[in-house]
Amino acid sequence: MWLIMSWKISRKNQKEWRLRPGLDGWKVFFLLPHSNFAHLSEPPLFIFAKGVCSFSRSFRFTIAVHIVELLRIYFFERVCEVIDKIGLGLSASMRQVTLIDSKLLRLIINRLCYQLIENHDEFKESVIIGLQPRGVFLAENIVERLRQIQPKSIIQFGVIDPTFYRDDFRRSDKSLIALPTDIPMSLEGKNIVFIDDVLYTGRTIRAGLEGMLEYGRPASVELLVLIDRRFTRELPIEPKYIGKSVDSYDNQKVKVMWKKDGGEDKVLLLTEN
Amino acid sequence: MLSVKHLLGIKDLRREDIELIFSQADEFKEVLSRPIKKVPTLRDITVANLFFENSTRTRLSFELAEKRLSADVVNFSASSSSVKKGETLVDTVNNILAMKVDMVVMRHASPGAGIFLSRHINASIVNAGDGTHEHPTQALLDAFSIREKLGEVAGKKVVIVGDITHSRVAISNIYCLQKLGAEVMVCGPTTLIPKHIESMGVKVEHNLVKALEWCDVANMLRIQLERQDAGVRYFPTLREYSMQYGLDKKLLNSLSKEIVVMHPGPINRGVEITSDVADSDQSIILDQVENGVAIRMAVIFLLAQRMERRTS
Repeated sequence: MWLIMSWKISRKNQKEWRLRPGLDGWKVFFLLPHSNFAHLSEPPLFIFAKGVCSFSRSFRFTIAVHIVELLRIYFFERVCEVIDKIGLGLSASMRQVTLIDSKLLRLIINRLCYQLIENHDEFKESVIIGLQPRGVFLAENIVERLRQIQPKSIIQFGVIDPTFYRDDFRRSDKSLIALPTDIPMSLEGKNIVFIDDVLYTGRTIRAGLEGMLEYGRPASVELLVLIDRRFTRELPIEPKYIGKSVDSYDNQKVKVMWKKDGGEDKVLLLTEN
Repeated sequence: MLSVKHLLGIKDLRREDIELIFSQADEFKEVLSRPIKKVPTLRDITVANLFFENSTRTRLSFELAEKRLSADVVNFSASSSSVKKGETLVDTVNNILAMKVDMVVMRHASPGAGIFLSRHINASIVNAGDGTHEHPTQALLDAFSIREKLGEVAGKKVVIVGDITHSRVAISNIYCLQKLGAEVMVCGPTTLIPKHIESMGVKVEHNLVKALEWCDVANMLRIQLERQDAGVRYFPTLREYSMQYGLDKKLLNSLSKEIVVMHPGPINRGVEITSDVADSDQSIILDQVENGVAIRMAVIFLLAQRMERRTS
């Protein structure tokens, strides 16, 4: 499947993309062989065209294919970097800073696991619940590490999706698609460790909590988050186990990346200009 | 999000819409297996079930689906209403909408009643069957049940047996199965298969045994006695119909492979299907009913997202 995108090259992004001078005013057409930018396995084909092309579509395509091979080698690396940024869900003008790299992330997860063991011992009366979608990856990592540290204890694990309990149903243009919920045990009288990756306003956690409470009356619920964005809470939600506290602005976004999605384990702070 | 604002027919849906409905129906099936079988998502929405024709399954299924989504439900049945006094369809609906009802689920005897209504009112409309036109939620739950039993619908061979001419379930099923990539055949006496149905891309077979040997799934339709025009006899007797086109255990066992047996209901036991087949392991009739609630929850949930934004 081909996806066609086009950008106009202005002075500003010509400099940013480090293209050779003289190309401003040209339009770049990207022909991408996959529909998902983040999983490019071959470089995209692209055409540089000035002004409006009055040739037929198929002719333009033929010209493009010939020009492309020369340009592709010249621009490949730079373009792929730009495409990578798009794959992360940003425009090419978003800056990113690595807050936590792989090594530090492993250490933080290790520390969080020992903190959990300190309070829950062998997890006999405890259940770990991950919040869909991104809390699940973190929860799986934590459960794996816990099983390595304490191979004898049985860690009960479940997953909950907050979509049906959200408070922004029909209030935003976002499309709400539910993901699987799987809680194979009763939560009655259990101590629950509720896990999500980033705590921002607290609304998603509140929704997940409401959903979880329909599976029984737990003895207690504790919240574990990897990143706590302080001072941005819109509901009174407080985490007990925190990976790292971050102070951030509204135009910033914290993104947690995992090795199993391709790339490596790390946490990024993205700022929109 | 769905590409349509109303669910009037499978014809308007794209394959992605159908797959989205299925994925959400999977989650709603999980909700139905919880101790508290309710989610609060639609608690600010009121749904009116307008059934101008009789129904057991569909009406109950929709009502349950709406209640599980915490929506408020009002029921209307034509037999006990002012329709008897001559009130028109648009008037009936407008009166109901004036009481701030957000969504309408309608079953009506006239084909296209839903489409007609969608041009006159603002609420979202779900077609629960309009004459001999379409019955989209039935087709969706049928395809969902096939997917559940066989893993996927694409590439499967499905035969629809019975009174195709008067069946809205057949039309919707044909559209739905084809969009999902299945091969469809219709089987029945020549009097009950509409002319030119091959133009819909389906195979036609008049011999039941051959059709069953070919297929992976058999969907047996009820003989619509109430629809057949008075005085026109489509077959000599019911007994002769069931001898030629009825499915019994002996025939089922004689096939070279195990097929899945479906029926949209209500069953005429002994006519199109015998009790031992209907209650056998190969039949997924009751699974269809269970899936019906999940599918209808998914449809209402997705349509509600496309309604007007909530303002203070």
